[in-house]
Amino acid sequence: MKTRAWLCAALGLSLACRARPAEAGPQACSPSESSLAPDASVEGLAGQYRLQLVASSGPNAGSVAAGELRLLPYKSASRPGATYPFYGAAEVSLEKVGAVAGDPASLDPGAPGVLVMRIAPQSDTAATRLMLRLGAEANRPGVVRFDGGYTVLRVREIEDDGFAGDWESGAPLPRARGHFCAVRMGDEDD
Amino acid sequence: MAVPHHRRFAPRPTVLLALTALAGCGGGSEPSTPTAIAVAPTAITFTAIGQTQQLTAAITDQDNNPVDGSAVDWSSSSPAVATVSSTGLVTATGPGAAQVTAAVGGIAGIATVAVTQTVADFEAVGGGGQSGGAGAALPQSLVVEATDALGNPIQGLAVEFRVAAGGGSVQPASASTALDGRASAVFTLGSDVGSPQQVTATLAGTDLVVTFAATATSGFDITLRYLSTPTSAQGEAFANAVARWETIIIGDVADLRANAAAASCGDNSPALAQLVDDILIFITLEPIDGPGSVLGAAGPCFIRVPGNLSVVGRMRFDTDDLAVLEQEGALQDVILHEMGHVLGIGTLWPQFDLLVGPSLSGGLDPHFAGAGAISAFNAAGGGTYAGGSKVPVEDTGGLGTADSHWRETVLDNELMTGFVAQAGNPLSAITVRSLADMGYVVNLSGADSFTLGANLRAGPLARRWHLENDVIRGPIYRMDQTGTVVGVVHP
Repeated sequence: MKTRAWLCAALGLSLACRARPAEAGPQACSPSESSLAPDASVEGLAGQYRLQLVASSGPNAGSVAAGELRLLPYKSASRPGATYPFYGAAEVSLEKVGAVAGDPASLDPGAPGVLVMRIAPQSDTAATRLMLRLGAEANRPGVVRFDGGYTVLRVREIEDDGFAGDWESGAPLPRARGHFCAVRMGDEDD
Repeated sequence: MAVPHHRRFAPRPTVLLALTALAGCGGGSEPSTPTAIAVAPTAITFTAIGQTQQLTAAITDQDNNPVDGSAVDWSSSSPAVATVSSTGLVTATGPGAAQVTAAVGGIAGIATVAVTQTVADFEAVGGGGQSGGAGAALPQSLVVEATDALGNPIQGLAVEFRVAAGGGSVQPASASTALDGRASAVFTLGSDVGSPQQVTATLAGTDLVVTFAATATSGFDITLRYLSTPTSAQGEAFANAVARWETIIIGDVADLRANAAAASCGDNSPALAQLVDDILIFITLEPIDGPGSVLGAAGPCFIRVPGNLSVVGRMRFDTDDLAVLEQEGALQDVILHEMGHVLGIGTLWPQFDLLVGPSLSGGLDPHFAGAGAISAFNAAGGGTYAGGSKVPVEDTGGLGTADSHWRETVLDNELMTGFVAQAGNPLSAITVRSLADMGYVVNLSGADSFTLGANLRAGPLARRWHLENDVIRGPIYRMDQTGTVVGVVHP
């Protein structure tokens, strides 16, 4: 594990985080300073995670929302420049951090509560991006909105036992931001 | 008053010799005395001021012999119409009738003079080729001038002004040429920006016509400030959207010197201390929520007090969607839609009490209550709409979609519904008139053709989904004419 600043910075051990997710405070999930490595692999991302969102701006700045995230392999058509390797659901009270909710708990593959998007770089100098979009309606294929509420998690770091990054939510303009940590609880088969 | 001109011919030597011989003969014959005078020509008609005609006077004595050397006095009965010189040269000086008299020795001859100016030239001398705000009077009057063959103005001619193109108005419809030969009228342009605007001026009873052409420009100005660099195609799409809205909103809004701190209109907005005429829009192109789903967002940041119309706003676009939008030909409509939100469509309806029964507050049939939009909705085929109140507003889609757009199930692919249609997205008269309901001066002819479709009588559908949150939008600051923030909406 190269950088542990984002994960259980105060406790030092990821296992401790897994054991006490409900009690975790903002100090347990620190902002990630990394950028997603160009060769970052998402192959093993399926699984169950303890998800923690910390609000750094917005109406509920300083608040923390904790819950669970489940990711499953997704067989879906891709869009130009983007693939969708996983879908899933999140049981988390996004309202606590001032984020748009939008039913992230849906496991309907036709409108999943969570959709993992791998976005190819748009220029030679850009990097591949990994993003999780929350909200069943937002992830319904073929429904495109001009505006609308959204919540996205932008992954900056992937490790064996989880991933971390920034999040942003708005409706329709950004209203809340912060960082998040997803700590693996077990594989999808567990 | 007659003005005589005397010409006394000096006796020539030969005449003197003849008279001396006659006297020496002592024949007792009477001396030659002028008894008759004939002026030629006896009638003159002038068609232009300044024209001249030479008259002659033939004098005969009692024996009907010509008398030479007699003094002839030339005079005019009306020098304002014609003058005559001491040699009988008549000059037209003004319209009317006069008599020219040649008098000698108690006898006189007369020639009548008529001066009737004939139009040789009828032309525009002012007001042509102007540009002005659509729906507003041109700053300069349209002026025509009628002149005779020598360039003198002709007074008292009737000129008829008529709008030939563009649908404006002209006042007066008829006018007489004044002393300077000119007649004028005021041209109020039609509201259709970009279409030909013409007025004709016809000289009554003739086929002489002058055409004035003018250009109607929008009195409403939209200024963009990019906080990210667009591609050339994107920049062109933004410029096209500006041009389109400027053909729809045509009335000027009072300028305002906006003062605002940095980041008061989005995280990356700069500090403001500038005159805004009439709206300033910040544009940011950045990742939002990945490909698909939300394409962009927009809204006002500052609105005017009084009036509640937007002063400064922002538009934000998802760079993960722009290329695809461009490929699919939808980029223009998306930008047009978002700019509509900055202008206040769907974002300022509550400020005007035009949004009734918002769904995010529990209403089951949110609708827009503006009389103009309702009229346009009826004209588009909504007269028999029985699904609820008019104009139906979106009741699905959650915050950012619901209560901020026309209802997709009824208005289908109209530009300001909350969902992208696969086909074109017409900007209907419903949207245009909704802007008028908010206080903008609009150009109805700028709307696209739009007819409500088969969904019309289906009524509101059950909600597909809604967001269980009360995330706060805004804030929108209220700014007075001095640029001072005096309040906030959506705190």
